[in-house]
Amino acid sequence: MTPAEIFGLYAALGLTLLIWSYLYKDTIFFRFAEYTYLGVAAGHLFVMTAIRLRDSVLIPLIFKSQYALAIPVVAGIILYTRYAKRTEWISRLPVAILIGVGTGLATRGLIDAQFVRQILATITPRNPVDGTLIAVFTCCALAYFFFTRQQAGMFGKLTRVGRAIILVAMGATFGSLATTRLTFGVMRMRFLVDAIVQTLRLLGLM
Amino acid sequence: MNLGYIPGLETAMAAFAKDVQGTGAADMYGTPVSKLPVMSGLMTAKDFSLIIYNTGVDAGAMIRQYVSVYGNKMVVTAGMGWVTGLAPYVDSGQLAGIVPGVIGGAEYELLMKSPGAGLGITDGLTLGFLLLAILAVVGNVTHYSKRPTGGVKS
Repeated sequence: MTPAEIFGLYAALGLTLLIWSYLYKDTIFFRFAEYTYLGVAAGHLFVMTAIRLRDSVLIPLIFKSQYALAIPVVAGIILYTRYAKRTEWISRLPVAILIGVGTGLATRGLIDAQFVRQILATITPRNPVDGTLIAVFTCCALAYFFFTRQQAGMFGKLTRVGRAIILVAMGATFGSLATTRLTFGVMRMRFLVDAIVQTLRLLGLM
Repeated sequence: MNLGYIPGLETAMAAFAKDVQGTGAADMYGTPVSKLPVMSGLMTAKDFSLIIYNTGVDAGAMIRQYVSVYGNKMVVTAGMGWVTGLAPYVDSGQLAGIVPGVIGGAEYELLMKSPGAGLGITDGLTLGFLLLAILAVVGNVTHYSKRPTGGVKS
């Protein structure tokens, strides 16, 4: 192992143990690890964005005469006018462009990906049993969100089934998320075991 | 080949799909993409025969920008937490498949007859589930055994 790898191993090991001190209580060690993480993440993001800005915008703009790139640069600078009360309104222009472009781009694929194709898949199932269940449960779940009609009688029963279906779906999602968190825990424990093995090897005990 | 970080989230995804060589101009070592043999002929997302998207979050943006717009075939490897949200895309044929979290990774290792970290972690995960099940049973038994029976008449 190189010195840099050894440093990385023990930095990660130390920070993992500091974070786990939270299992006892909210300690100063946990806070230190938490703030270190946030600081490193913010610094990393800043450097990566600055490099991207330099290579994709500033160098082509200044040295390759791609003057069209000045438009987003000016729009970006205008964003900072929001820090002064008198000029705050100017910052709404680039924000409007950002939101407009983002919404436009997302909407382009959204109608097909999350409406048309999903509705088609619901009404053209792969087998009759799945299809019937999906159709009934979809109608029940949708019925739960109809608040313009009193949820009583037959309609009330449908909405109760819908609520149960929504809870089952949320339970499945919660279970999946719990699995993810458990996986992170197991991976960290595996890392600790690997770090101990590496240490024993470095000390010549293995 | 690693093109590094391209900021802009969905906007960056859309830009890369439209102009692969222009958006990902150089790899992380500074080599222009146009000089990399593996990238020759790849101009837009239409030129990709398969996209394998490895993500720790939602895949909706990639499906919107690549599958819907360019008709790409896509497989997603995602954390278990996103599997329930991604399953409808498989049923609708928008995704060719999902590798669900570390369990999917372990199954893939078995399929490839190449046991690795995935199978090891899955063993630990199984023990974790067992512990969770025991704690759930113990918690419920404790709760119901201490539950007050009857109330005070006023």
